[in-house]
Amino acid sequence: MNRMWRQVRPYAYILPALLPLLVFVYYPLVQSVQISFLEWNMVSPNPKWVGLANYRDLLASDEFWLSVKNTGFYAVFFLVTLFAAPFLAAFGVTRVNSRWSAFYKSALFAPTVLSLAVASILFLWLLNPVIGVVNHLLSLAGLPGVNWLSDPFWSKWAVSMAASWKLFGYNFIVLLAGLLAIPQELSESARVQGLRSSWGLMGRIVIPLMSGTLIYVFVTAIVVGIQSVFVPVEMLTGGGPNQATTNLVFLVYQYGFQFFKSGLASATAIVTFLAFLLLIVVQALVMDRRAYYEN
Amino acid sequence: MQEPCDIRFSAVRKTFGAQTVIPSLDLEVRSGERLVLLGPSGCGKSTIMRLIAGLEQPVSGTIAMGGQIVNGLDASERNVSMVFQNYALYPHMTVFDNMAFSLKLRKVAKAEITRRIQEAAEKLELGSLLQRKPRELSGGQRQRVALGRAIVQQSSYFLLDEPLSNLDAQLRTNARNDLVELHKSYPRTMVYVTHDQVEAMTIGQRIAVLRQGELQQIGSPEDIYMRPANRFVAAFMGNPPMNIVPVTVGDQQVMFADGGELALPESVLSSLKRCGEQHVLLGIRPEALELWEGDRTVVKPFPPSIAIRGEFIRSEYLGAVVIHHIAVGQHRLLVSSAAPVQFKPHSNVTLTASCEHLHFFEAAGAEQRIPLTVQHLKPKNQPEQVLVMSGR
Amino acid sequence: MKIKVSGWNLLLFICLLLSFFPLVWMISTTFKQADQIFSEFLNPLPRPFTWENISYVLNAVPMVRYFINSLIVAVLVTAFQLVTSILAAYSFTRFDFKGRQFLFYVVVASMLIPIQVTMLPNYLLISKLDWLNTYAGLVAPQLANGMGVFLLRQTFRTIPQSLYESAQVGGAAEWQILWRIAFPVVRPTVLALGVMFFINVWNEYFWPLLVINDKDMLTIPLALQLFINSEGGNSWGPMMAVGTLASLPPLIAFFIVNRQIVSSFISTGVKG
Repeated sequence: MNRMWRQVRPYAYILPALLPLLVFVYYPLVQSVQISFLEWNMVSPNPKWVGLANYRDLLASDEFWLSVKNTGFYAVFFLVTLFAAPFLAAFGVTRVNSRWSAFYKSALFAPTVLSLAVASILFLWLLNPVIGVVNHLLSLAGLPGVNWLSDPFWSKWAVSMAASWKLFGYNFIVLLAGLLAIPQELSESARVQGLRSSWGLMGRIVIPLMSGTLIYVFVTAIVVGIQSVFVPVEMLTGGGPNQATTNLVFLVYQYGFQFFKSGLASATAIVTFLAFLLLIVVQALVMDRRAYYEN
Repeated sequence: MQEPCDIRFSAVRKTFGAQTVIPSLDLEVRSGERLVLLGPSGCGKSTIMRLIAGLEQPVSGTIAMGGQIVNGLDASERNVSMVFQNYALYPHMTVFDNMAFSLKLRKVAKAEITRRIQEAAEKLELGSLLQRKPRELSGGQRQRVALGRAIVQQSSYFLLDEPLSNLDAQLRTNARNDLVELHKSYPRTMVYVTHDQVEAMTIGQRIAVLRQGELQQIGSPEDIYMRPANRFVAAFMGNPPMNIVPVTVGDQQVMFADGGELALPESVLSSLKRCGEQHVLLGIRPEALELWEGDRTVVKPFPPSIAIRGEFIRSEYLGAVVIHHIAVGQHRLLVSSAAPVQFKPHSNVTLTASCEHLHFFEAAGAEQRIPLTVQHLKPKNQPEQVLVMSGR
Repeated sequence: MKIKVSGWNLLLFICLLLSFFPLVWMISTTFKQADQIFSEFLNPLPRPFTWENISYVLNAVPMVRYFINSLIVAVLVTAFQLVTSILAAYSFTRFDFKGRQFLFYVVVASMLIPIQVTMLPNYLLISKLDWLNTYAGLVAPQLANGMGVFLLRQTFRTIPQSLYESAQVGGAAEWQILWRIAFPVVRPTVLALGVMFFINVWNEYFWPLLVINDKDMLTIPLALQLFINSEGGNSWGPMMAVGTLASLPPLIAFFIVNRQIVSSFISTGVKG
């Protein structure tokens, strides 16, 4: 075989994957940074260089800080629904009869295969103030109904619920995988040594031994959650009412494709990206410090 | 140990789904003894151990420990110490914390915890390792930590599930001795699971041989070895394994399948006839056979013995012992002796064995042992004649 | 036998209700008549069962056309992503070459870069290529998938080098080794990944939102949004019908390979 081909061959095999990633992921990143220094509406052939003006404007705008605040809300909400809840569910699945666990795994995972758009439509109906199931159940419990999508406070909850419903299953499975990777001998040994309660098992054995998976899900719950809630927001509230549901991701879309301020949009995108990156870097560092526990 | 710490299984049955692992087991572990559960994989020995520990519950039957029925109690309520096959050390805790785990759960005072751990660490030579994590330890060290963890729990029952199987062969010999010594300093009721008969013989005060969930025989190592209760136990114990040959009981002799005959003392024959079976299995251990060159017809009359003609095939030199392969008709018999021989292949040889070392088993069903009476000579009696026929 | 775990059973049951029931409601509402939707919306059984919502949707909206659009895009992207991932993952495990580890990180790290950062420049590029409102425009940025490479590499790693070497000694060319020796081993993972990719592309919203505004070229998720905007108000039956129709392919694909996906996640897991 041609010696030169053999040298080039490994790279040739990688190229079909690498090239699209370079062209459509990495290069755009660079371009985004470039655009963030411009004032431009995407069509004019003369973009204006403005240096850090976009960033300054951004940090000075109320709109920006409002979406930051909202983003914070979403982060906390998703930590509960996409980190804590799936973890408890996964742990629960390992504690119940195995006959049911296969069923639970499928049933809890099913919504994940649906699109966020479908989830949005579904929750549009479920949260309808008049005939929606949720308000009906609330009234059965004696609580007043809520105008979910038009209420400035509850609208965030509405879109978050839609996104959480769809994303729950995936995190559930990932956490379950991490849980099942812990050798059964360890929990049996703990049992023999006198460990009775599930919470004890969780705290002393399970959580320390799946800390890697936990941190991964922690970070992705926030990052993926915030990006995903874009769809219900775009479909159902348009960022409203009165910007109540907007977040950083939606802001980028608004600036870019509704107001055509590409520079500002890119600046927002970069800022958001840096925030996410920080989270991810912290995750990597924390995981490095806690050494790998599996042999 | 003041109170009795025995374990009693009464008609215990265990199934996993459709599979019956233990049909009905009656077993008694005496207080303070070292009992070994021995058998091939799948024989249920680990299941029995898990039933004792409380990791599994029996489907029916009762398990009593120290006189109390423990059927409903989960493992966390039984106060049993267990050493797992893969040690099950908590990877995220130091050796000290691993050993302290059960004590912390039981709210033992800190000073006492430290004292017990120090004591055990000294005995097991773990003193310098207390702050290390399991992944920094060698296999032998991990095993000792697992032992130490079990010791400090100070429970009356000590369960070990093949704890030596992951050690190198060399370590294993020392570890075996250490375990026996350990038991002498901490005389708890010890149940030990293994598939290795050498381990069983050296460690167990009594051995329970198991097969497919059924107890084949329980007794001291000597009992098991010298008086195996059935063919399975006889063949399982001993390396190289016992020679077993199917024979038919005749009037004056037993016959091999290919027509050869073997004369036996009258007392032996009458025992065989008494049991009623026509087809039986003859068993002789390789070390019970003596190997002579050529045809040897003059045999010592006392004690009564047999002689078998055969053809030499080859020897395996193992250093301390030599194993000879001898063809007798269509059977292959093994003889072990201390000295190598220089026979030529296909030369004629004679095997002799004292009748005390003959075992007979029924050829069907459970292949139970057929009890023999081998009469020893009193000076006045006539020596029984021994006739020789080769199995050719 | 005591049921010691009733607390967990309760929690799981609640999660089950929350997860599963909305889906059940969506499907059942699809087949309910309008008045039952308004009066008995808690009842999961349509009485009587009706197809009117579905036929309304199929007439009002060119669903078939949108289905085809989504299908073409999903199949193309899945195929591309699988092929590029298999080739790359194979190379990363089979060959030893300079920069192997670095290039692997580059491929996998691409997953970290969020779509907000890439969307504008990609939009500009697609626009410049005149690929707006085309299948090419939808497919192009998604030809490769970092996660696919990552997961497939895990699976390829289970193949011992000696297997490759014995094929080499037997005279096989590299592509033959990949196709006949390595691929059969990873086929289950490829299947699971393929279904996962398909479902993800089928459900995509963001990128099609940017690239498509021609009504003929909409994909299903966009069609949903169109439907909400044009119908609005109270046509819940048709709305749920759209939702159900949109979810059929993913649900079917899911049921086919359900066990496979779940167990392949559990076996490769997430590197801790």
